Amino acid sequence: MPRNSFEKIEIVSVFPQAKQVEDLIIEQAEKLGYSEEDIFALRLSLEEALTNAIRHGNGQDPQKKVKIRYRAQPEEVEIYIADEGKGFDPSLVPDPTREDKLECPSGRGIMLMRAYMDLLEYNVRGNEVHLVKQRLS
Amino acid sequence: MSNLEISYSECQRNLVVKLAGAADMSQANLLRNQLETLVMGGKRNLILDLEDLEFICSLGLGAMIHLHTLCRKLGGNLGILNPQPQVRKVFKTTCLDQLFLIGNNQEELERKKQDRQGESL
Repeated sequence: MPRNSFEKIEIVSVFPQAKQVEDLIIEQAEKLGYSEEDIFALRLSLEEALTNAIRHGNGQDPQKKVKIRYRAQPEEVEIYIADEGKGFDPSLVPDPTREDKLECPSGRGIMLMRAYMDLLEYNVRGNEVHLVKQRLS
Repeated sequence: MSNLEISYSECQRNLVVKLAGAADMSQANLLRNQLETLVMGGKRNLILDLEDLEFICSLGLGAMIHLHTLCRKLGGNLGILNPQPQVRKVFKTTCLDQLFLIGNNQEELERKKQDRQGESL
């Protein structure tokens, strides 16, 4: 079956615009019949990736853009989210489930995406995340 | 998905805070700020009733951790009541089920609270 091309969206670094993108992708996954569990996983990972791009990547600077490419297909949803930040090394982020980190109020986004997605990877610079969610059943 | 709705009731010496909707990127600050004001005003024993909370992200978790720490610092505590399965799974995935007291009803929560107090003696 031929693959759809990616849809492209560019937003400024504010949460209401990020929510609109999130709702749009979720709506398409719902139309494709993804399960409630898959939809929750997608919503959670989109929240984390967009929050990271806006807060940490772009420093909530409304002049800076977040670029999203996504493709929602019957068998999987694939998303790229890029910010204008200098990037980071995800391997240096401490494990938030360590006992000494449990009371830290931040730092759980990457581990949540890793737990809920089938693929999570960053580009070399560390300013673009690639997410894939395969249909559960 | 609906915005976060917050409502309150008193039960014995606890303030029961019922959350409905989504504790997401756009609502986490509301949760943190509203409840922080109440804790600082003397309501240091909180029970968050999550029966109608459909969604939580790391910012929502961060708000709850902040409130937990604040309550403890002031000699109180924060308990979590009846989270939905998907929300409970987020607590488990992040190991926050080891930090928070989580119960299916207030009696279970009270029992766990007493157990934890006993452990720390």
